[in-house]
Amino acid sequence: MHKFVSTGLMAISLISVPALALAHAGVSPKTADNGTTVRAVITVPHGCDGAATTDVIVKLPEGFVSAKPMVKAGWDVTISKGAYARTYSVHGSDVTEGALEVRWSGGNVPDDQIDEFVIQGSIQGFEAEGALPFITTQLCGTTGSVAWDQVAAPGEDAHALEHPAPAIAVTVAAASDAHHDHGAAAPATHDHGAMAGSVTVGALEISGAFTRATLPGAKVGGGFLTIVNTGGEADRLISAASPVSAETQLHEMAMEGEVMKMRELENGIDIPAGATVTLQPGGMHVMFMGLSGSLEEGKQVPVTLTFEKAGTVEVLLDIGPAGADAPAHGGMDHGSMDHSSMSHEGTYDQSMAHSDSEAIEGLLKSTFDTPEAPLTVAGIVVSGEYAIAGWAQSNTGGRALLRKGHHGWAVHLCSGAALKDAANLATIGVPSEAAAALAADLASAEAGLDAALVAQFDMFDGTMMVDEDLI
Amino acid sequence: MPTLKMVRTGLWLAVAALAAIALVAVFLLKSPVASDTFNLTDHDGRPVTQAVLSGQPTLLFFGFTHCPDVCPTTLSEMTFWFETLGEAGKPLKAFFVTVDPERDTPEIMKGYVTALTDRIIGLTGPRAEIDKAIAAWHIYAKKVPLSDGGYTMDHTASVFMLNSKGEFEGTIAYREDTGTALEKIRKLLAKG
Repeated sequence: MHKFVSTGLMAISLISVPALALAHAGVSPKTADNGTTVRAVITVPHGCDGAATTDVIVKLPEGFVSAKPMVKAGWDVTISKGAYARTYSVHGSDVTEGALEVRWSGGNVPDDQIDEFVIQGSIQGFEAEGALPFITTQLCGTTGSVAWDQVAAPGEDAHALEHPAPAIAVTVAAASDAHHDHGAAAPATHDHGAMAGSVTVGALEISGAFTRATLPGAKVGGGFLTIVNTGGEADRLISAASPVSAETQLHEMAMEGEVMKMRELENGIDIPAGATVTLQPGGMHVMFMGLSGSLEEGKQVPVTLTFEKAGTVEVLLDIGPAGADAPAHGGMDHGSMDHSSMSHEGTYDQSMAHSDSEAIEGLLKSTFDTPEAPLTVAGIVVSGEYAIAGWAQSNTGGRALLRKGHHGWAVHLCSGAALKDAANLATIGVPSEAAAALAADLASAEAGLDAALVAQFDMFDGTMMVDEDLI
Repeated sequence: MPTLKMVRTGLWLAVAALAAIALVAVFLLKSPVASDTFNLTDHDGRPVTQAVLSGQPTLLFFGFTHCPDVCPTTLSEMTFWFETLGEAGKPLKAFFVTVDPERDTPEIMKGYVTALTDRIIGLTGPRAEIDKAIAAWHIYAKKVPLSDGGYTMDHTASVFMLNSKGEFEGTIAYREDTGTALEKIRKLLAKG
């Protein structure tokens, strides 16, 4: 009797296991912008009713251009190529054909394990939001197969499907991103719609390429871009060339104290395996010398980069405003490129800041700034490990009281006019010296600000505790 | 409580004294020597001497037009400071002195420095006169040869702030936080 029951339970559990384990095939990233290069990671969740998966076949969707599968130890890869349904314009060249299907075979994913299959490609041709479904079929030897081949119709919920094809939702960058600056028309804050293209050569992904409009008469310009080495082998950028300049070199700028020093990188730039190397204002850059004409904002500069191993590739640099710090699509901030990236990422590395004020502004913006409601931070005063910062957003505003700890600055509480008073600060727990210094410095800092802005800082009613343990 | 207050006052005095010492040190280091008075040319070809740096609060920057990064960035930031200060910034003058007079003629300087704002005046002149200005302000400027036979310049990248007597008041570092830079300029303007 006892045995019967347990066998019965076993039978029930055996039946229910496949249903419980019926996780769908998935893909990462879930969303990506049109015009970007992505590495689509397709996850195969299980085998075929107990049998191990031996083959994975992925049909590449239209609009996933110049696709390349990643080599995978223990598997053979077969790429089926053919003509695309339409012609794509990638970096000014027409692309009409490429990989249409990738098949990994001869491997083994046991039923109780998962595995990932990676294909890199460029998302092209989307004028509106859409989806890239990767129809995926698992073969389990000769014993069975599972097809993830159902594509949700527009408006249909993919979750309702039994065997949905893993899909990347494609977004189309708005023609003009709202940007966050200091509220006035800064020369460095013009957005334009075109996104700096990304391009791949061998294991190197190059993105965020931009240069700056030259000032009249200028004979030189700097080119900036990011190189990601996705491979296991180090490479080296050995030279750059461009038709816009008589001579193109690789340079590095470094600040030694107050002195800017410029050096030609005659040995090129190392791109270690797995590393991301950024050529950016204030650091390494492509140096255009002897410009044949001015570089005009909104246009593009072609640059041919030659790598020791990956070979030669052409990159188009978007020409941003004269003081641009970042590619135009980044929602550029006036002061530093950190600001723009942190507004979007929501995280901010305070160790990158050059001053307490910069760290505090960065922290507040990374936490509260949004494209819809840009945050203004001003009147930052610091005394030792305590600080007060004024902020304004939409029609409201306030002051934040911060303290610096081992992990950098953090907000203790938000309030309004109360934080102007040294006695109030002391009551909160700020040591009296620091409280007095903060109140005095705040008064003088805010005296130099627009009165309307300061009035906005006073608007915050009451006190909002953010991190009670801080002070 | 009175004791604490006394201690506090004492501390503030100590801080003030330290600040004064630091200022004197900086002043001695960077205040120009009268004999170093230079004879330069502004970007409209008008003769200019050390005297242009007096009579109003002044921002002073040394750069050159064959400069891919620091100089356009700084001109762009200075433009933003002027735009943000608005009326309050009216008394302020700004000069961009070339450290590369061999290439930077008044015409080239004019096109370059006036592209973003009309508030910055470019200064150039004979090498010997530029060197006087460089020496007077303890600027570092050095030619660095490049492999194609050309050269670039290493140079001090800070913006100097001078009061209306033409005396050094402080610097704004390259890429200084915009808010901090504006606070410094407002303090300079308040001093007159």
